[in-house]
Amino acid sequence: MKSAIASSLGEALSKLLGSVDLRGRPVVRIAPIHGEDEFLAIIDTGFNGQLLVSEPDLVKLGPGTTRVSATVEVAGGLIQDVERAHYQIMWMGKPRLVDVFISLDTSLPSASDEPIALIGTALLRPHLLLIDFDVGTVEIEG
Amino acid sequence: MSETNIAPVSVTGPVRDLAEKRREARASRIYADQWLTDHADWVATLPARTVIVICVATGEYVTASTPVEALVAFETRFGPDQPGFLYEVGHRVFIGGGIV
Repeated sequence: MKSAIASSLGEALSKLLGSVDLRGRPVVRIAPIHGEDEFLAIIDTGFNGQLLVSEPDLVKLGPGTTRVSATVEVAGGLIQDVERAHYQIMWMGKPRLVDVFISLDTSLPSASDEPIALIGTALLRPHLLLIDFDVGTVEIEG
Repeated sequence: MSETNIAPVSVTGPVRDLAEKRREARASRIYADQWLTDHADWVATLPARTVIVICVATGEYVTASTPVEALVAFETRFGPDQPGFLYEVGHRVFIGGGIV
């Protein structure tokens, strides 16, 4: 299985490569423009926003921007309070301002080798997503 | 649109911890729910996916066609520290797997 770290080197102008990790999660590596090192993000097609990060991990995206409150619907139909802000990341080889949902539910940062974010379908549009769970490859194209 | 008579949410300064952030988010939601009820007739005239960010300290607002544009417009108009609430007309964000 290709590691997500190695596959991050495959990021090109029109293709982002990732992998299916040992827990069966499709992950890609994201580079913040103003933040710390690259971080792993899980592709979650059940999430129709752009990017979700928990509060303790937000520092990895860089300096804060204006944050406002919002709500999301979670499994079971419950409405949950979150915050939203915009951050700049490298996406498909180009800087992009993205709409980041900030979860306020945990005070513990993720382990350094764990994904810290969810990528939702709003960030995947208008791209083509290919996940080969047998081979363990992830491709986001064009 | 008509003026709102909703009392503003008090702003006590920088948010210091998660519990306080959650309390502030809940207060903003309660304020915004009432604001949206009071302005329902106007909101109903907006195209689907219009983004409204309400300043919960003053009841003023900005609108835009995308969340990022709305966040930038809100920051430009009200500065970086005003509490706000973002609402998308006719659209709900769903996190199928929940938040952990």
